[in-house]
Amino acid sequence: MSQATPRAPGFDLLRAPVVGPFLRWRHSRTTLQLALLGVAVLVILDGFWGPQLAPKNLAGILPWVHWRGLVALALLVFGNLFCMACPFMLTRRLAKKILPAQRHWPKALRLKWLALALLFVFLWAYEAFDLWASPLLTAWLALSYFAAAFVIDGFFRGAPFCKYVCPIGQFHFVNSLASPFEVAIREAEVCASCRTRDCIVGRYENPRGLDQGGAALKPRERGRLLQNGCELWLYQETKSGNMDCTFCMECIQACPYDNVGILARAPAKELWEDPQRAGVGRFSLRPDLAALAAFLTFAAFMNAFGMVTPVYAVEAWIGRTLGTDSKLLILGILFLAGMIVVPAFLVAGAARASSLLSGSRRTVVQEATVYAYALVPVGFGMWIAHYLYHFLIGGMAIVPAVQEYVADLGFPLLGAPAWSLGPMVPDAWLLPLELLFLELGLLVSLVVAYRLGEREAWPGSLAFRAALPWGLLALLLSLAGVWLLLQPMEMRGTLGVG
Amino acid sequence: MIVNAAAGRRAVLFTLALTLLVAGCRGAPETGDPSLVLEVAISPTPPAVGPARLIITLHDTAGVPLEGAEIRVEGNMSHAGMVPVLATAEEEGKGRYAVPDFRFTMAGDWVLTTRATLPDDRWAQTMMSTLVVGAPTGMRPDTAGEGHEQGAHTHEPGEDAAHSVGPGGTGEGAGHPSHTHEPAP
Repeated sequence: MSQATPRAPGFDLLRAPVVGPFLRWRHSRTTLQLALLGVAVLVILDGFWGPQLAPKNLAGILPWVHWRGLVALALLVFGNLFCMACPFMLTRRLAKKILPAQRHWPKALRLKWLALALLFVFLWAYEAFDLWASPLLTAWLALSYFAAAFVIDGFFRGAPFCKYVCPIGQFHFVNSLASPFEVAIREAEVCASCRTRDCIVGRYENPRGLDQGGAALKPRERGRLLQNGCELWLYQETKSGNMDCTFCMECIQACPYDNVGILARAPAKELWEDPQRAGVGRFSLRPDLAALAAFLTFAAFMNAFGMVTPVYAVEAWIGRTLGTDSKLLILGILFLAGMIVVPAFLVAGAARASSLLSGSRRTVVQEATVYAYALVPVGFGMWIAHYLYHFLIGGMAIVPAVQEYVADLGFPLLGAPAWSLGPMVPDAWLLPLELLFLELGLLVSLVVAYRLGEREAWPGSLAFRAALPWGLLALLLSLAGVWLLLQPMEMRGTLGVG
Repeated sequence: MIVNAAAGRRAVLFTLALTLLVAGCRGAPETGDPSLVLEVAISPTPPAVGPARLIITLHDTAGVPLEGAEIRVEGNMSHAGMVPVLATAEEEGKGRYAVPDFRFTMAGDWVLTTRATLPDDRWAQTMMSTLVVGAPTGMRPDTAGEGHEQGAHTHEPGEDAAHSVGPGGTGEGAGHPSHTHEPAP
């Protein structure tokens, strides 16, 4: 069994100027959350009561143009920033104060299958109900999120909503595996000598039980809780990587030895490492995680497929074949095929081929569970290409929308709306940028596949053969991505204008 | 994370109250003068990416054509973040106006907001949605004849799409299902 590679002392964001002091500030997360809460409230209010034309409504612009693009950027250059700043967690904090929160999350649900199913429903609903074209439904979605976080985390211990339910969180978790920063310990020796484990149980008034001799104090003997520990059950000493880490920084605040930082690392390296991870286990023994990773990879391409002209021919064909004109059914079948059935066959085929080529005796599921993580970077590349496209082509559209918003309130302080604003970069840059991110993703996928082969194939000379089917699958996806990016866009959506 | 609970609650409540106060003031679009009838038609139908001709007629409820209006058209895609197409109509006489070269920049669903303002400051506004196809032929042969999910694209080849607003409304809520389809004037 491989262990986490000891980390050489490197760049620690918490020790960087300006950003470091802010992140170390105990209220930094709350500040970020309140900022996004303000945005969420605007989205909800304008979604319910503003004009139902998405380009004119903050609920049409902020979530689907800015939030998605900034999520992709943040994951690319930092890490899970948007879980860190998640405003839905403010409702959790409230729920923990007024609801019992004593139940344990059911054991049967302590895997990613529920979240995967919800992610599928989310992506299907996005197209089926044209969420991007409906400020009203977008507002309902945001409101539902607040309610779900409140109810689930109000009745269950810890943060099961983030870990086992939230579809957006799963998107962040999986793609942050390729991010360049990680919340991690600075010195293993410090953790080895720690007996109070504040990073996981929280910091209390009397935390230094062992310093006074004997065993660590029991929670009820520790006095008042001063600082939460990790609510996603990631114990820092053995935490490895970004899976399930919301960058909530509770551990950073809780550690009495200031031994937790936000450390730079080789992006995507954790995809080919397989230590026993606190709160997660080993990637190679988690079919649910592997399925989530593969699902999100294929979903990246299907999500983009929903916005190009050929998808309507495919939808029409499905409709004719089945004799139905139900958009919900047609899209359900299309997405089921494109995100579940076809990927399952392709992944199973790659796993079988990998076994045959390398002489592995693992089953198809076991083999796929080892190697499916190689697909994450090419999927991430496609997500970035897609979401950055919308952000770069329409990022400035927020300016006239805000101008009009303020003017509609009776305060035309910002001048006439400049509707000609929109693109943030010249049109000619868009396709090269999209292709760059897609192909960078492919490149990293190939590296990850080979490294996984090196880790798993025996003898090591078989690494290339073990990795070959996965590399080919990543290449196939990349080619599909290139084809998608070259297609004319066609954006249709329910138009409840007014 | 440790927070001062009372201060946190105050901050949240203040933010919510302020936002509710401000955002709640944003009302529905105004309806314009109910005595004006504004009609918009597009040629060809369905329009394709590229230039299209918008034919606009303005008259009162008695059918009397209204001249001298300034008519502006704004085309938006249903997806946020795309730069709108803006145009001003040319007057052709007898209450008829036209935008001869309205350029649809991308295939998909578009919303055309047309606003007419008369010299005496009376005005009317209409919104209509239309599907713009990717190319006249080739990429998507099924949609023109079959309509699409939002329905009601029932134009015959060569027929213009038209939308009108008259007494009692400004075309608000006029998605595909409520289109009126009339032969081009």
